[in-house]
Amino acid sequence: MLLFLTTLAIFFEIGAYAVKYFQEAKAHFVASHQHPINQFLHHLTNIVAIAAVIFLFYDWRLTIVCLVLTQIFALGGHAFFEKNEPAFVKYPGITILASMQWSFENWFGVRQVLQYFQHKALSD
Amino acid sequence: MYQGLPVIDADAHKLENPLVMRDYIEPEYRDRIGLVIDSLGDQRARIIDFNPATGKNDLMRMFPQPQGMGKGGFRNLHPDTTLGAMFNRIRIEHMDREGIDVHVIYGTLNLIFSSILDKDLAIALCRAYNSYMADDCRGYDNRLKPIGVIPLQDVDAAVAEIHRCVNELGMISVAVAPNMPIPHPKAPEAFPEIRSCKTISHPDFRPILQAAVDLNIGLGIHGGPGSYMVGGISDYTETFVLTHIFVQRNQQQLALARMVFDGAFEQFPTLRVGFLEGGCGWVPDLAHAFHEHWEKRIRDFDPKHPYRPSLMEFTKLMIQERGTHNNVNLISQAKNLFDLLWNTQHDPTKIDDVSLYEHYDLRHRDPLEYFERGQIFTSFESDDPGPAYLHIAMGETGKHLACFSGDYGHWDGVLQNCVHDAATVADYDREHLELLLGGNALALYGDRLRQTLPNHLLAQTTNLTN
Repeated sequence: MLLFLTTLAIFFEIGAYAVKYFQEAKAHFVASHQHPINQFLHHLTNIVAIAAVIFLFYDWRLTIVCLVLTQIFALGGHAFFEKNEPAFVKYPGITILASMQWSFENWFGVRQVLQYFQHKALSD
Repeated sequence: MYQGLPVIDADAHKLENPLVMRDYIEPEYRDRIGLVIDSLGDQRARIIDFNPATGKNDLMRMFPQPQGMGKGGFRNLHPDTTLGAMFNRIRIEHMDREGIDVHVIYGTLNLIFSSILDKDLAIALCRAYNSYMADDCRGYDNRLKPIGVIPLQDVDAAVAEIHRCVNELGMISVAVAPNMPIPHPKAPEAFPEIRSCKTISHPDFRPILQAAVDLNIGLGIHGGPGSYMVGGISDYTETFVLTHIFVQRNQQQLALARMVFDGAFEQFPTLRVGFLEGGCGWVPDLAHAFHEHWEKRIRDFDPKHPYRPSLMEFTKLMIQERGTHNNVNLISQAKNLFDLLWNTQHDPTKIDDVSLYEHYDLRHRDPLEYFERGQIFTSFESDDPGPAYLHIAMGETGKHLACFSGDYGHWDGVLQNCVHDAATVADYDREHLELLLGGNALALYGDRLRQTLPNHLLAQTTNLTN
């Protein structure tokens, strides 16, 4: 029983740490993607990344092309528009998850466009 | 002498004998100064001053200020020293009994002269006081050293009076007020109740400092309560107890801070100034504040490159604090706030305004150097523990700052065992005690005092003077 409780406590501890780490990475990701074109390119990157996984079942060469495109879109967005370093430099490994969650939350950019126009209408 | 050490009281006082002093005032001014008894039965100086409202000399003023915020003292006569402060025969008896070799004597009434509005009256009173004191203290085996007073209302006359005091009257120095009240620019009609001030380091007064350097005298800055000088916290207290707790040290602190940051010690590197009757325990704290502000706001200060965090870091912290939901609005809000806090409309690197460079001409020198090179002195009274910790806070410099003072003649002075108490309040080594009881006063007043010491003291002070 004691072993079970100890194991459970350790799992909770690790889980809490993982959630905290993920939240930090997510905040860092959101903060480092503020330029609209960079945001668009990252949503595009995430769509292409999903496509890359799907293409894996059809033609692995298309997967390779998609993966190359993801890097061009993402790195290009940082280099030419946002002018900062990519988020994965600080949070390697988990950034892709944060990025995906961000894209899903924002309906791959559609929600952000809607909010932009809503905000503009209110401001006017 | 105290156990073979010379004792110089660096700030004793005279209670001016009005009957005698009156004879020294030019006849045309005699009727404009007198004594009155206030509603509490205390003596006040009654001065008919210039009235800005009428343009005539018809403003009746009482000094020290009897009522209101920053008021002066009442029941001020000390039972042990009042007569001695008026009559030198008694003073000498007290000095002999307590082992004091020399009294450096400041006035009492004259402490308010800088607040008189009519400059001709102020000049006349200063001249009268100085002549009176020179005559009053002559003789007595050179043990009484009167300090002159100068009219800040007229700088040319003040400089002339310094020269007269030193060269003609044989005085070792002059006193200056820590500040001179001037109308407050926001309420000039309410002067002198509402006032600002010019401190002695003001550019207008630089000829006075130049004269002090030329004549090699150590200036004594001496304030007082109920004088209408700016008195810091004391200007906002309505009981004499509270006023008196703050007035002397606040006046001296303001004068010292302005001397430092107005560049007076920089312009006159051999100028010596005594900041008197304000105690000394606060010196390390103020000196540290000088140092810290010089370091952070003058030496290392770069107004063209103010701190500016990264927008990304700022946004990230906002998101972490407010949550990642609705982050589109949050990013927009964070950016707006960021632009407000770190203004994007005005580029700091392109703003060139002289007001951003406060005291920039002092960036090359730490204010602590003015203490280290012996330009600044303070005084301590017999039961003051301040000198015991100055050297702990400021190192060797701390031993060379404080001059013994009995505040002889004033209500808060101490006569009985004043030297003994000063010497035993802490476990001083002999060299340190020698500085406190006499050496620092000699350093402050310099050769003018040294060369006129009683003969028996000359040999005793040789080691202190070299």
